Amino acid sequence: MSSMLEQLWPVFTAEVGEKLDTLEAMVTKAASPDSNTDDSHAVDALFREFHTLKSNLSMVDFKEPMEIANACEDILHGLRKSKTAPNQQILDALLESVDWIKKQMAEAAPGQYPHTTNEALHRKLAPFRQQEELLLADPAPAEKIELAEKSNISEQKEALEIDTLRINSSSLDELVTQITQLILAEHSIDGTTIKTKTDNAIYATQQSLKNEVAAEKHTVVAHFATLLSTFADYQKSLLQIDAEIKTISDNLQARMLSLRAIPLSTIFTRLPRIVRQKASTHQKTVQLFSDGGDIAIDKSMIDIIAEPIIHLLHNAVVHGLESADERKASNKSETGKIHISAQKNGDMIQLDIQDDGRGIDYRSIRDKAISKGLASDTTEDNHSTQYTSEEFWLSFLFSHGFSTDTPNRTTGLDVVRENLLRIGGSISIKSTLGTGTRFTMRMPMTVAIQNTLAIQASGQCFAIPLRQVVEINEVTPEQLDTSQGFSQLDLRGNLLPVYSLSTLLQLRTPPSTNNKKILLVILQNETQCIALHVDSIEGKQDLFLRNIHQDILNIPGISGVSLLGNGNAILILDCEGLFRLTQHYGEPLYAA
Amino acid sequence: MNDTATAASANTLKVLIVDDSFLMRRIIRNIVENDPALSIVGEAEDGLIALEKVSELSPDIVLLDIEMPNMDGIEFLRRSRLVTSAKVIIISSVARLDSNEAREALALGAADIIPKPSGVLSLDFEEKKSRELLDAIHKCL
Repeated sequence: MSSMLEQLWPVFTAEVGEKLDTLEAMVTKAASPDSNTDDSHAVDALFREFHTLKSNLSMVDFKEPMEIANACEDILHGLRKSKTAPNQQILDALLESVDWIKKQMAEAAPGQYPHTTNEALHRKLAPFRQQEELLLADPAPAEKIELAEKSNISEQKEALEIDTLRINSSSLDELVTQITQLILAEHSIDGTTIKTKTDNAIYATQQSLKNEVAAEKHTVVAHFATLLSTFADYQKSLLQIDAEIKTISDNLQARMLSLRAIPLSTIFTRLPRIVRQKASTHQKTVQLFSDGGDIAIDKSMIDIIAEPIIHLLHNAVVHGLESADERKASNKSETGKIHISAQKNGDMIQLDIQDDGRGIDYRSIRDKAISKGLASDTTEDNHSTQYTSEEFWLSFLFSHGFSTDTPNRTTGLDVVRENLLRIGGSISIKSTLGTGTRFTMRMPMTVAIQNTLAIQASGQCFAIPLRQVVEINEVTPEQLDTSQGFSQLDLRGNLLPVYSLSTLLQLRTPPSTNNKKILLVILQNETQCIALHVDSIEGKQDLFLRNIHQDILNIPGISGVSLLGNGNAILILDCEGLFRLTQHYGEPLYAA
Repeated sequence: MNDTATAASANTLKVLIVDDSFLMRRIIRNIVENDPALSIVGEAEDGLIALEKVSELSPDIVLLDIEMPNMDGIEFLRRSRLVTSAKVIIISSVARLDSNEAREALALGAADIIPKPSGVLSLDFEEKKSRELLDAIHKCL
């Protein structure tokens, strides 16, 4: 039998991890410039969290962090008694304590602890612990506590990753009920009985037929009719069961997905910390507001959006917001504000990150785009008029290699855009000079399930994400426009270049061109529309994404893999990748 | 059939565990479950929920934490006297055994205050600490 320690270790790490996250958010919130400093509830809550943290640590006999937690608890106990709000030095020391305990936890295994003591931290906590009454007055600035800055985005992203999910027990009960139903339905298809009964029916009919043919009787037809109705009955019940199983498994899938859903607040609560660190290294005071934290998104999305969010927040703090002096000069409050908000639009999530900083001058972007040869003076004139000049030129910030050479807020925005496009999302920017900038990201709520169109090319099956498919067309070769020297499809007045999927993916078997009918899947992204020639259309397919080796992800045009009902693997196409491939293999199909 | 079930539960004392920490509730449950004289009838994560559960489950013993959100152990004690005759045993951190809260709890009718089983989740102390907690509970009965 395993010991209670081993048995309860996961519970311990989960609860302590949760407490530490809560504490980090609470302390950061208390440290924000205009938090309500007289909030005695906040001190109460802080005290309780440290108290539970300490007693949990003491249960497993993890001494060193327990002593730190105990010191913090003592400090808060004193504050609670004297009804005092913690000052900045205390908050910094508390935050450092939380950090240090986190680090110790990361190195601990059941019953095996690093046993490192942190004398410096104890010395920082000690004065606040012993002289409770002195805390009424803000002590003279003691040694400044520098928080270790994690400059690396990937390190900070780790802080946002989530590996434990708490599941509501009623959801779990419903799941179990549904699985039971599924098993019952599956059991009702008794393969053996069906086989025996149909075999008997076939045998009986065969015998009767033999006898009657020998006797030249004319009841043969009647026997066929009996046999047919037997089969019809079985077919009917099989179809019924099939429909039932389908309903149950659909419900089951929806339920499973809702279990994986995590409220955005799990990320939002950790962001103020990141912003605070970044702001302090750049001598700025920044306040982060968030709303829409109650919106839940699939666990798979958290990892994907964490990096863009941190990236945009960094940009806003470092480049978007002005220094305190600059802000004062332009009649703004010295504290810069960043607002992150989420909202749900159908099955998409929209995330806005808005700062009240200096804004971006689209004219400087235009000049730079032209000087880099990405655009010319006339580029804008050729572009559709659905965008304003500002929107048109600002979107160059997302262009690949637009600006990595200067310390400008656009660094890496192309990567952010790329990552969002890959999962079927998008990003856009609005900016007003002097008042601020807003980035808007849109993305699906889950990437775990993809609605796709299954197609075949060169004898191989592929899935195209449905959201990029506009329509499917069937044409004869004569209907294609070849006046430009390559094939184009005239789609209600718009000429779309025709590419063959086999060619784009460099599959061995060339596309069959002598077919009378050409099947074209029309794909669209923000800027382009193409007609993709495929051999056959297999139908709609909802696919659950499987983990895939990084090497395969690096194949242009492929975004993932999934399994079909029959156990065969199917590759999922990456439409953005295909659009890029059309530029590499520039020749559209059927050049004249 | 029903009679045996009633007889069996009549011989064991019904325990309600009140603590805001899921880990603490699991630990106490694991320890108490090993005692044939005790059977756990429920758990509550704060005083408010505990008040509902004492009326609903009529436990014989309430194992009560002091520091909890929404309604703390002291307030629970104050209010529970009207709705239950259960023995309330405070399970508290060692450091707070002689605190004001502890004295108040005793004044409000808590049967005893016993320390949390620190170190129970370790290979060396599991048995000893579990035993101590059960002994302390039994001493109150």
